Order: sequence, then C-alpha cells, then structure tokens
Amino acid sequence: MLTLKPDHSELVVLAVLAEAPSYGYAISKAVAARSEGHFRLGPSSLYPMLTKLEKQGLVDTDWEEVKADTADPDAEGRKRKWYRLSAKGQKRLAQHIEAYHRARSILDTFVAPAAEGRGATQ
Amino acid sequence: MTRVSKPADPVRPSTPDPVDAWLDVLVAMLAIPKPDRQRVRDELEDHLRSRIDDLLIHGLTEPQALQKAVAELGETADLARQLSHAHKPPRTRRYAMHALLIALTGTVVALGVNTMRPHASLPAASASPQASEQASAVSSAALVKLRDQTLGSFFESFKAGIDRPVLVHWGRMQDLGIAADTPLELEIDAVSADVAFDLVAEGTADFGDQIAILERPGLIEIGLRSQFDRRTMERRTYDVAPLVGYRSANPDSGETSRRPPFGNTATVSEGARGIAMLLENHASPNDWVTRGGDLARYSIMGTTIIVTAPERIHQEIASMIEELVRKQWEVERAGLEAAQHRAREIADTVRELEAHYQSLFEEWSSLLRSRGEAFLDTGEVDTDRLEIIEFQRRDLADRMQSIRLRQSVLRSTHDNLVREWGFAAALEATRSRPTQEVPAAEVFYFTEEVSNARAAVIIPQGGTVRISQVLADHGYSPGPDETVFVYHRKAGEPREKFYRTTVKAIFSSPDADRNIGPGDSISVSGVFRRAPERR
Repeated sequence: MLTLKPDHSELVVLAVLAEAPSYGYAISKAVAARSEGHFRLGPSSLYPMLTKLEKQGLVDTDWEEVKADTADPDAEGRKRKWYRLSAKGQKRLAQHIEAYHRARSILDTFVAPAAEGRGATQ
Repeated sequence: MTRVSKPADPVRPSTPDPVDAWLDVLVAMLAIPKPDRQRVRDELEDHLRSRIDDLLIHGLTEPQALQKAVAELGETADLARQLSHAHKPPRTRRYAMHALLIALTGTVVALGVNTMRPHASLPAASASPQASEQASAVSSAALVKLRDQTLGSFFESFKAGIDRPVLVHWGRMQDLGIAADTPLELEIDAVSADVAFDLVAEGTADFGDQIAILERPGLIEIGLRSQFDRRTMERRTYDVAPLVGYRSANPDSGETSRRPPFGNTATVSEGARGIAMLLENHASPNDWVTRGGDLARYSIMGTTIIVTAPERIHQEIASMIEELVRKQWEVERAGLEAAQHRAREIADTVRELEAHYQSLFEEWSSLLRSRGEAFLDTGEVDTDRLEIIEFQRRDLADRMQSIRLRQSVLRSTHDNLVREWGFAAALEATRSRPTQEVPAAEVFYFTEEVSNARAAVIIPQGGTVRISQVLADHGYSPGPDETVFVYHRKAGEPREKFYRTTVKAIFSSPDADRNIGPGDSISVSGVFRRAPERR
C-alpha cells in the first residue's frame, strides 16, 4: 500500500470530486477503491487537506443532515459535509494533470531506453 | 457480498457514547475558532459513524468497529495539530484587501488631480465639459495685444474683440487699489482674449487673482471675484449614492446596475463624508468654511451632500462628481460584462448537462423495460440478472442525481449573478426546469433470497402512496423488528435522504411510513420476510 504525497493527494482528491460531489468518508473510500487498495488517504491527511482546499476556494461545501435512526424521530441527525469542485478547483486540477503529463514524459525519456537495456551501458 | 441476516443494533446508545467522548477530546485540542471546531467535530463524527456502519456490515462487533475506526484516524494529538494548522487563515486575503484599498484610494486621488485643474481666474468658462464645448464669448474673442498697457487699456482692447457689452466694475476694484491706470507688466503681441485674461490675472500677483469675469446672456462683467461669488451664492444638493456603492448609473443612458450597498448605512454615510472631503480638498480649497474660508459650506444627509457655495464652486463640484461617476461606471460596466459572460457560460453548461441527463435517462428507461425479463414465467425471479440490471440502474441513477445536483449549484450561481448585478437578461435555458423526472414511484427491497441485491416492485400508478401500503399490496407482512434502510428522493430534489428504521416501524409508525409522491424515487434495503399467504 502506498501513502500518497501531498501533491498527489491533491490531484487524486480533485479528480474524485471532478466526477461528482462527495463527502470525506466517501472520498477516502473512492480513493481506496479506484486504486484497488494501493493508495491510502487516511483521515489525518484527508481532512486537513479538504480544509485547505476549501480555504483556497478550490472546493465549495454544503451541509446535509443525515438521519440514521427514526426510532427517535425528534433526535437530530448527524451532519454531513459535501464537497464539490469549484471553477478554480477545476483550473487547479487541469494544472496538476498538465504537470503530471510533463513529469511523465520527462521520466519516459529515461525509462524507455533503460527498459530496452541501453540505458545502463551507454 | 456480506449477507446481513441479523442487522446490528444502532450505533448510538443512550449511555455515554465512545464516539462523542473521543470527539470531545479531539475538539478540546483544536486551536481554532469555536464555530470551526463544531464543524470539524460534525465532519469527523460523520466519518467515524459511516466507517463504523461499514465495519459492522462487514461483520465486526461494535467494540471492534469502534476501535478500528478510531485507530484509523491516527494519533489524536497529531490529527488535532494538523487540523488546527489547516484552519489558519491564508495571509494573502489580508494583503489582497490592502491592495484593493490602495488601488481605490489611488484612483480617487488621480481623479481629483485630473479634474481639479484650477481655472479660478475664469470662473464662468468653467471646467465642466458642457461649458467648454459651447463657444464661450470670451474665448472666441479676437486677439489682444499686451504691450505697454494699463489695466484700463487692456479692458478697452478686450471689449473691442467681443460682440457683447462689457461692464467693468471699477468702483469695486478701486477698493482694492486696482484702477484703470494700474500698469500691466506684460509684453505679448497677439493672444486670444481668454489667454490674455489668464495672463493678466497671473502676471499681476497683487490683484490679478481677485479679478473675475462673469458671462451672462447679453452682458460680460469684469469685477471682483468676491463680488460675483456673493451674487451667485446658491444652495444645491448632490446625490453621491452612485459613488458610495448604492447603485451605479451610466451617465449617458441612465442605465443602472443595482449592486447592493457596501456594508451598512453607517459605512454609506462614511463614504459620503469621504466624497465631501474630496470636494473640499480640490474645489477651491481656501473658500470652504471648514478650511478657514468664508464662502462654501456643506452638510451631509445619508448619501446627499448639501452645499451652499457660489456658482463657480458648484461648477467645479458638478464636474468633479460627474467625472467620478463616469469612472465608477466604467469600472462597474467591466464587472457587469464579465458577470453577463459568466452567466451565459453557465447557461450553456446547464444545457449540455441537460442533454447528458436525457441520454442517461433513456438508458435508465430501457433498463427499466428489460427488467421484466428477470421475472420468469414460472413465477421465479432470475436473481443474478435482476441484480446486474439493478446495479446498472442504480449507477445510472447516481450519475443522473449528480447531474441534477451540479445543475442546481450552477442555477444558484446564476441566480446570484443576476441578483447581484441586476441585469435583466435572464437566460431562458437556466430558468426552464426539466419536466421529465424518474417517473413512477418504486420500491426496491432485499429479499431473503437475494440478500444484498435490490429486487424491485414497480408501482405503476401515480398519486401518493405509503410505503406500508406498497409492501402490503405485494404481500409483505410487518415482519420482526429488523433494521432496514429507506432511501427517499423526492421529485425535483437533487439528493436522497436515508433513514434507518425497522420493518415494524414502517407498518406502525407514521414517521417511518412515508408518503411516496409521483416522481419520487424510493428504495428500502434490508432483510425482511414475505407474508406466508403470498403465492
């Protein structure tokens, strides 16, 4: 299992939110499910990051009341914080994707020759 | 898939709750403002309880689930420190505010300097654009020669070039020691009358700046400025609302943008006070009573400045305010255009999303039709097939729901833009709400046979029904006190609410036995039993 670096986690979270609005727990599940368990974004890094994304205006948020038990109909439900990508967030995601492609194409110039067995001898 | 044969008890007992206790400890460690603390607490509570619910479904006992969920959050102190750090306000915001203030101040100062070119010696040929566009009798007058002249002979040659009678108030001027034989120490051969007058006023420092010309229909008067000032003393009111953020008006068309005022009334009259000080500083500063002069006075009421001053100062004020309004409108218009552009973009996106929604809806409907294939002639249900169809349908429904959510967010952004900027071009596309929703009320349920799948019963009729009625119609009995989840999405609402309740409660409690309206979508998941009398 890999623990994501901050830069990558932002990319991953923004990408998850680009598909649909979501909330903290669902985001962490989506990251684990999508990476088939390879990536782990624990609460201790997820929630501080979501807070930063919100402060930077990359995500918009709203609250939903979730009721889990109607045995006591007067009881207050718990509150769920939903996150959705803002226009600024979409821009940031596009920047991340571009940076990722750039880094990858640079790495490819090393990886491809090495994979063909030329890199080490030349 | 985990078969849930005996649902877990509710996670929240009435005795002190371990989740609450843990949250209390965490929140106490947070170094952030109180309202933020509550929100952090709410969010982490949702996380913990969702996680615990999941772990319970996977077969853990409640204490195990709780322990694992809390352990996953990591060291409490570490989490508190990271959350506190994330909540620190970004510094850039404060800098940006300062930058804005500086920019605004700069604009106002620049405007003041720009519009307040002193033109004191020619009060009637004022600095206002209208006046300068009209051909003034003085400025269009013939050329004047200034060489070896006295003030008297200068006025004589001045008179010669003007087609209107000129009255020189020698009597008044003599009180200040200015007479017809006062020499002019200027030498220039030919210059237009208005320039010559300026030169005379400037070049004779002892008295020049006290002489003024007053242009009237059929008469031009030359006399003391104080004399003309007293004669033209007048009280006027200036509405500076457009300058203090109430509304901005296009000075040419009167078109307004109804932007709400900045802040409260106190801020607005503070703004008016600022404008008044600007006028004081730039429109003949020495004449204001507030600055030691004895001519001009003002009072402020709300966004109105009442000024008592001679005509020449009123002209300076009017031209200054007009210039400020014009600049303000230019800035505002740029914002307005940007807002309109953004609103059009939003409308386009909403339309695109609608097309996408419709295509998903088609797919969803065709799955609905193909679901009949899972119900075999023998009365049995092909549960595998049904499971797949329902899974796909659920997935589509989720995507459709997220489109609706996105549209509703976009619409509210659009509404805010329209409200804030007050432009009338309400875009039709974003107004017309889609009429086609998921059509029939439906009930999905788990059966004992297909534990985690969602088998379905279609309720063909419209109108309002209750969950218990639907279940009873399809042969289901109240059953034992087993937990089920009811997911209810009301027509037109983007997001479904879910409630945990019991089969028994659905049949016995009005709160649990909800109404299903036309267009609503409802699913009930859990394990409950068919009544023995069915089939």
